[in-house]
Amino acid sequence: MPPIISPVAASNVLTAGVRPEFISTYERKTQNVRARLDGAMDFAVPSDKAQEIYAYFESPPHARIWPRGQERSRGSFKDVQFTVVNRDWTVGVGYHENDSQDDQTKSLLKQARSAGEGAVLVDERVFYQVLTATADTELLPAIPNAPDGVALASATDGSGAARFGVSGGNIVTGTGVATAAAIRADFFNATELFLRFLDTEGQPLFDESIDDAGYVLFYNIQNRQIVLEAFVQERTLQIVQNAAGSENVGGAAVTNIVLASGLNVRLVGTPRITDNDMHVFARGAPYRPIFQQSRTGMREVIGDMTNSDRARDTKLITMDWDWRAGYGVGPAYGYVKINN
Amino acid sequence: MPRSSSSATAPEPSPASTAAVTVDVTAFEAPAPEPKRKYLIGTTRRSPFQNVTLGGVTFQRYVGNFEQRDGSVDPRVPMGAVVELDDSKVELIKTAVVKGVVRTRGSHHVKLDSSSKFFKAMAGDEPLARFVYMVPLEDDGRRPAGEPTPMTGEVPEVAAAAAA
Repeated sequence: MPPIISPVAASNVLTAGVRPEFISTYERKTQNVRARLDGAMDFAVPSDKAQEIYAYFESPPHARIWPRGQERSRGSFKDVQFTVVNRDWTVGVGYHENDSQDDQTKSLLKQARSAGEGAVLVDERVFYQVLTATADTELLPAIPNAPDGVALASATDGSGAARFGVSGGNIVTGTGVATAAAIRADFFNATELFLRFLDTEGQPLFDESIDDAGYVLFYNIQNRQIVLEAFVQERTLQIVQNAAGSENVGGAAVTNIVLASGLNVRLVGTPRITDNDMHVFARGAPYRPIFQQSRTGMREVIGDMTNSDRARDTKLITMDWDWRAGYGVGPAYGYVKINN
Repeated sequence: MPRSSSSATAPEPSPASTAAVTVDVTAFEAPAPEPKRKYLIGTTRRSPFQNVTLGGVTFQRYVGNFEQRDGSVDPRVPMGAVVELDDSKVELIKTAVVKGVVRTRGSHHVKLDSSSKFFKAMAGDEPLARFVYMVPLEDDGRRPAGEPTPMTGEVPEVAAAAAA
């Protein structure tokens, strides 16, 4: 027996003479979803199987001195494997054919179609699900660990050693969000942390060029004022002169170190983060910590009088979309969590 | 000309040349290392958050590759992670966890900070401490049997019922 469909409740738009000026009230905004996540998430990694197995090598040994008379030193390196399972995703709506015909705003169909357009929001929702490690029955059944066996943010790796060779791993213990100075200090600690990361042979993982590509910082939108003050506000005090205009009697305040340093920081405030933690992504890291792999593109299925027994029996029209995709956590060295 | 002669005598070093340069290092004293202890930490089965970071330490439900192809958890994977923490880190975690609040709206959960100026308690809010545990282990690292007691101190069944 097919599942019961709850059709669109359209009684309010059937009234004769109803005007459509506010019909876009909840029109879905899907533009720029992927642009918002640029630098933090990779999309459409190709997939042609039910699940994909990825692997990489850890660092090879670094060169070292070869003392005369001693045997040459040789090292080895390990490899790492991780799996990302593709899952089915869907969205669908149903509406009575009469409602579509009688809709005075002529927008029912458009609004129904926007459900399919909103599929791209799944990427964003999963991104934040992984970032905040939240259970959500509509999204991933479990948050994948990174290839080194631990969560996206962790002080240690799966073997209990300091992650990326740094005490504290890819977590900065923050100093809170009470002041712009505190936020800036934590952010600089995060950028310094990227440069302190070590490869698996104990040598620096990144160099200063990682700064050139810039950073993306995700934060709770409720902290917007203090975050903008930290990153965007310029000097607030100009040089003050005496009445005669002949002498400077007040010094200029220091300018904003983030701006002055030339660091490229893109700020993304979102209500999907609800605590005071902040999340910094280095755009210069070779891989994004979170990625989407695409098994199949989106398929649209419309069930109407021409092709659906249910529609013929009930006049209930259905519009369904589905696709297959997986979400994985890759090497987490492009991410630092500021834990407040 | 010979380089040395038995008749040659070495010059007497002057007293000044033997005086090594020294400094007073009492201003710097290396602190004694804080003893560390092993803890089993993690999030409970009913926690709406699989992982939670507190005081710079992530409480994970599972370590390693725990997910099976159908999305279920491999039953062989133990819960939580064994970490070594010193007392100051433990205090930092305790300070952080008491500020954490879990709010549930339908199937959606959010973690809030009760010390935030934006926070206002609402009916149904629960302490984050109800969903995380932190159990000191013996030196051999042996894990306790059963579900660990959450940081609220409630017995797991009570915490589970309260969270349900």
